[in-house]
Amino acid sequence: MDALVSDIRFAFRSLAKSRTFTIVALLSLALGIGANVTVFSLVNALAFKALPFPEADRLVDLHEFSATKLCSGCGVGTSYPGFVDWRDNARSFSQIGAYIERPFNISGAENAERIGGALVSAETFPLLGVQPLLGRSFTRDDDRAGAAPVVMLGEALFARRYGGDRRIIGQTIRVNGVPHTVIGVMPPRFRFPEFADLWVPFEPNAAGGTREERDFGVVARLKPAVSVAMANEEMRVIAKSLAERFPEQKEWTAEATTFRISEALPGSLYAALLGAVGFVLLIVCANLAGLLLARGAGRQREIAIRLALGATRRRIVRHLLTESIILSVAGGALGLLLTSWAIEIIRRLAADRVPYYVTLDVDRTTLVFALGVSIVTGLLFGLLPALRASTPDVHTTLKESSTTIKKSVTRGMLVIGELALAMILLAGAGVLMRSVVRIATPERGHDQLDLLTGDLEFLDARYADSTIAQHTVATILERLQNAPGVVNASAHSFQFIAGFGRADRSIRAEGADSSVARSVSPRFAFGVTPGYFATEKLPLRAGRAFNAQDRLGSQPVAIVNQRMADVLWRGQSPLGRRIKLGSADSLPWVTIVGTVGDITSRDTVTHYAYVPFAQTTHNQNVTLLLRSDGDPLSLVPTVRAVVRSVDEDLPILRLQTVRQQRRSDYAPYQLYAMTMGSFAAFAILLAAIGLYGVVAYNAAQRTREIGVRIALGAEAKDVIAMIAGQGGRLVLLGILLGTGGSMLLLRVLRAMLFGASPIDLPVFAAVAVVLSLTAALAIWLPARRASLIDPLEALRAD
Amino acid sequence: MAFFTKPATVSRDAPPAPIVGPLIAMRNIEKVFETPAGRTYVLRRISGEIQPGEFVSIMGPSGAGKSTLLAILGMLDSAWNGEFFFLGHPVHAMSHKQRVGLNKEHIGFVFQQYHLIDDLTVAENLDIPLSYRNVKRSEREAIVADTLDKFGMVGKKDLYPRQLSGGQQQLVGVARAVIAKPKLILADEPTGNLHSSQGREIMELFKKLNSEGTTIIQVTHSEENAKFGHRIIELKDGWITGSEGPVG
Repeated sequence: MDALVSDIRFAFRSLAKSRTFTIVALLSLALGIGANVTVFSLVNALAFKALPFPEADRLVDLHEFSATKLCSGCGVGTSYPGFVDWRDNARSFSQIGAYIERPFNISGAENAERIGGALVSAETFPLLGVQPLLGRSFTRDDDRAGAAPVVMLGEALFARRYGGDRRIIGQTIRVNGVPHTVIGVMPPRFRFPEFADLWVPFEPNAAGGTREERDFGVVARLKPAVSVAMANEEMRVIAKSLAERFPEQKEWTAEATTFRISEALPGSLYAALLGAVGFVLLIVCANLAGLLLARGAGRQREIAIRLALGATRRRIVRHLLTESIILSVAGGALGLLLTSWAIEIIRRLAADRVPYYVTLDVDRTTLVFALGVSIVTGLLFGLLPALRASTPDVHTTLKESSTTIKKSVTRGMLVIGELALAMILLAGAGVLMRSVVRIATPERGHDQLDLLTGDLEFLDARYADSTIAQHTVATILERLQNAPGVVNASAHSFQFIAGFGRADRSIRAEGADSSVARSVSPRFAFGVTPGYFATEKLPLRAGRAFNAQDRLGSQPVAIVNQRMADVLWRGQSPLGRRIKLGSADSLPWVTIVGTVGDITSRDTVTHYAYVPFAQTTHNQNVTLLLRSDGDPLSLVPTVRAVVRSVDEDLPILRLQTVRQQRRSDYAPYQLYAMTMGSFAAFAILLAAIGLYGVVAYNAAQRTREIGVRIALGAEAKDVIAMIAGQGGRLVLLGILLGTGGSMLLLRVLRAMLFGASPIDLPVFAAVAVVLSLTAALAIWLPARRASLIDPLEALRAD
Repeated sequence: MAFFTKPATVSRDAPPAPIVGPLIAMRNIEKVFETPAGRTYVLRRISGEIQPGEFVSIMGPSGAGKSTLLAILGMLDSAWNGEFFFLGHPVHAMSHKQRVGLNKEHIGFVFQQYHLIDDLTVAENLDIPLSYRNVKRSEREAIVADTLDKFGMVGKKDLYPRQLSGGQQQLVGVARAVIAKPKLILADEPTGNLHSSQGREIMELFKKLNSEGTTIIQVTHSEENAKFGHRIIELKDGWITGSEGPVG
């Protein structure tokens, strides 16, 4: 124990003596460990931390799954009939609840407001083990068709909109235009399933539907003594029996998995972030190992004396490792401080994007992780130098002059490794940034960036008749078109062509091969009002645009983009040809009445089919588009006033320019790319420091040689070339290794590149140039200094 | 002692045209260190000439300024005052680059500690001065081979310095000093680390090189070694306290 205390004391003294080394080491450790702990705390919070429910590990998520019908990585819940089957047949669960997140319009004394809410079955809150703060939960009586409409409020909504007045219980508010009685308020922060702040019973709003409408989430609590695997097995058996009875259940099975509600981030993102910070920490370790090797070389005399005086090698290693671990634990403590700042920033940035049950904080698990990483890091960067330094040839070391040149192959290899890792990170960040730039690049062919856009959601029960929504939109557009400052006003809605299966997602075209039709088929058609093309400045190429005569009941018509028409009908006129917007035979034939210009996105023509908005029936969500004669944002008050004048309970959402919308859509990707870029920049800085250290150390070791060479006629450029040559070889090897590593790694991370190729030669070339220039500076500084060596001093030092 | 008139202008890039006369002419060379305790003179008013083909020994006690004077003559030291002409070129008025050029063209060094490069073989050590003098690789190989032959070291060309005795190492040091055919060899206690018979061999070698026309200036503590030269310059406390010769 005394020895340990003495080691610790000596380590502190030694670190205090080498202040520059200690500061550099502490800062790089703080950043390296801090980045790892931050990402760990994110992953922990998002993927591993227990949900805030009693016995959360007994909760399971029940869902359907199909290897053939689902796109890769797509998730699906179950249908209403599916939920009923499970509820009635499954024996593994004490309770089963269904839910679906939905937006609601609430109105009453205050302005209309859109609120994120959910339909939940009566069993849901009890099975989660969550009691209301005020009032009561839903009962089976509430949760049945024909029951009196009731609603539960989230605590935040209760406090904000109703001033926290307990008398709200029993009062009536309008939800989607229908009066509902408030029966309870849920506790603070409870927003099940993710972002809901208001709940209505499931059955009255969700019952019915076909088995193919697999929209609902299902949560269940396992009975005592039933494991997830047992429940899973039972779900498969039930699915098999359903598949035998119902054709639409063929190719589908069911699963029970530990309840996580949803994947907040894709697994590959965790992997990439953990990989990036892991690389950063490895570079930190390599760097510090290099610095410690150099320090060890400088301390060989001291260590030789200790050994000569009877110290064992083990004691010397322990002595040196104590220093490394003290450093890394202190660096880890600083890193934790950085983590707490980073988490605060992330919390602010992602406040409305992270589900409520995710608690981002530095908890006990994170602390244990930070301590563990610190100790492992200390061992990682300290062990090799300690082992190396503890085996000097005592006799030779004590006899040798201090300027004997010792080549450090290990340090060179460490620097090559650092450079390669930095290159991989930089290439990863580069490819990622390029792919973000690619997806964020505006399409060509139409002019929409300066349009004002806003969303209408026709949630109120009275809009169940789609013609009412049609009429409302038409009235709003008519008033907007006449408002001052408005050049064009139009609206569009998405009309999905297909389901999840690849085969379902195809149009059919008369006179065109089905494989050709599939190759140009969009996923959805746009239901557009007559002024849409003018608003977007999308030119008409042939035929006519939509007009007021294209309405429900008249001949169904469509417009497609020019390229799609060319491909489908091989350059012949598409006018008068017919298509079906989907693969089902039951769909009506739609006649092509015109073609419009192509919209090119990322060098690829995106195919679009347009139908008259007036002929669509799925128009719960409608987007307004307005072109102004000045600043588009100046139209915001006008739009709000016009919408309110038509329907005071209809909120207009996300009112912004298309440019703003795109920016906010891509912000998470940009943030992600920038985070990776920051890691890469830090990695390069570290690698440059490491390279600088090796070259400077080498130059210092060669002082005498340089002096001799200068005396023998070497000029500054000769000395610079000599010293830089060694560093240059390391850089070259690092870049080669890094390029190979990048190609391998980016292949693995292909899924995260938004369709970009992982082998991006311009990015690789740019990355190699950036790394080379940084490395050149790191080499040039010590090489230049070496060239200024006074040969007299150098030779005298011998 | 005759001195040369300083030329009116000196190009910064190229040495001015040589003027025939002594190899070295010094006038009032002084080297001084400023210390908190005041000025410390290392060399005081050193003046004199050395003619081409001379073999001069600089002697004196430790700290007399011998090695400093040698470094100034070898243009390794530029922090001094006074006038120093080398082959008529005013070294005191030259840029660093010009001095390096003059050094490269005309001067070879032999050090007490040999100063061979540990990681290079004998042949590679000999190649160093040539590599800094724009000599083609093929020519360099031929010159190195000739020199190895001349110094009887062909069998040792692939050995590293640590595999040689002190005498052999110094032999390589001398060979390296002469390989670029300098007009002047500056030797700082060339036998200081050698035992007497090895030292004598090196001195004989110097004498032979001198007889072939190379000017040699050596710093030595050894009266015996000094006798190999024509003249002795004695230094004490930075001053020239005596100059005698011809000797031997």
